Amino acid sequence: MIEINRSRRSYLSDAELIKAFQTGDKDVFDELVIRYKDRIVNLCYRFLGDYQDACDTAQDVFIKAFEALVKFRFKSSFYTWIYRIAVNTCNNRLKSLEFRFKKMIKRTGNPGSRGNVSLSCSEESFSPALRLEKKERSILIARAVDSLSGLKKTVLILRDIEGLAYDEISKITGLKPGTVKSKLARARADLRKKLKSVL
Amino acid sequence: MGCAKIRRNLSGYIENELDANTMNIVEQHLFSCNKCKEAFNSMHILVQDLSVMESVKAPDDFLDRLHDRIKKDSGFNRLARKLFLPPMIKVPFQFAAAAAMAVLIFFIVHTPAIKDEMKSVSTVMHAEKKAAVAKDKVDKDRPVAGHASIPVESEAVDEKPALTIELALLLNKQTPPARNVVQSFMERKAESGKGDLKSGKRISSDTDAAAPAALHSIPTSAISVGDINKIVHRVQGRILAVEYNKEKNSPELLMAEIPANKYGSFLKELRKLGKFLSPPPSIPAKKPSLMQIEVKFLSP
Repeated sequence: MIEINRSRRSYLSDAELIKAFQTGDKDVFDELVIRYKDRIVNLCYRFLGDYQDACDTAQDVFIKAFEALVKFRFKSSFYTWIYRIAVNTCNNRLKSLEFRFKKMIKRTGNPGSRGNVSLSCSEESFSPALRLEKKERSILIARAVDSLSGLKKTVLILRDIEGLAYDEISKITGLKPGTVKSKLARARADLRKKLKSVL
Repeated sequence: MGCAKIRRNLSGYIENELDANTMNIVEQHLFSCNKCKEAFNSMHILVQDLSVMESVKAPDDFLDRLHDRIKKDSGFNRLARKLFLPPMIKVPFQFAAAAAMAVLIFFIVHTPAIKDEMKSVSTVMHAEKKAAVAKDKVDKDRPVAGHASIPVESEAVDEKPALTIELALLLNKQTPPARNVVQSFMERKAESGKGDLKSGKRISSDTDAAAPAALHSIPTSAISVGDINKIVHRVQGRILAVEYNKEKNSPELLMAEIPANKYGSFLKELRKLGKFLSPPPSIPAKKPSLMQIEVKFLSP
């Protein structure tokens, strides 16, 4: 087992880190977590709509990745691979009874809320009124995205929010690129209908 | 191209993914149709809004919490997760598998043909084991030349007896009255051959007239296999094995199977041959239909 110096880890590619992990240096996994934690938490947040749930699910994603990384065969990039784990974990979480119950309680308790989170809005040039309007608009869009069903939601999040390429989405979801495009077109059309008053 | 088709292509038009001809058609249509242009504008704004949606970041202690969870995630938890998660899928399958196993076991146990086969196998194994134990005992205790184990009936019995009783019978000095002396003589003749008896006199096998003379030389305490056979059959039982002492011309051990309700009659028959060293044990009220009896015959 060759242990890689902490400062050196940040210069290594994902594939090199994974090879080191597979030879027994489990500490290199920290570097992978540091690289992808924000993106995975953000992706989970897009799916679940609750920050705390998103953080917990992202942890589940990394634990699954930690357990399965030994079997990683480099057929896809780590990025695609962990996104696939995240999408599947989020979809399972959305289907779980516990989550549905929690969501129902939240809706009845606080209808306007979308999780207890301080969004990182860096556009300080906006006036408070504009910021409020933007925030409200953002909440409405997020709720509309949340209401989309199954694959349409997944494809829309991966393409329009996360900005992934069609072939990456295809690898993550297991759909053909043509199907991804048609699902995306339908998702956008549905969303446009839902947000007609805002747009 | 109608409005419906144009609107289906709007997503591809925004992404600039349509072929040149379709792109031209959509573009021309958008110039002429205000409703479709409005739809295009709103979709374009939507796509832009989605791409600049505010993002969230992982909390600062994310990595530390992850370390804690990985440490806590012991082998047992991992195994439990593999076995039961996701519960919506795995648990119903496990229940279904358990139910299928239960039904299968129920059918195996309650199907008469399989039940009989299993019982006969176990009974044969039991009888073989008993015979082997008896043989071992004879081999260990006494020299081989003086003893012979005679399996009288080796076929499998229908029901395996659950109750076994051991008795020790001190034989009478006198020959039992029910005994057929000629039969006893013939058996002894067959078993001991032409060898010398204890008295040293030689039994002639040529003429029946020699029989009474030979009978005088038989030890008075001896009983024959025929006597035992009669007693056992009188109570509708079966002989499993008899150990025979050639030197004493007398059976030493009887292993028999009798109906439990004939136990009293069997004891009565045995009392005619001698007396029990200790009082015979009583059988429980909830007795099985068959019982196994081991009688050790002791010379006076």
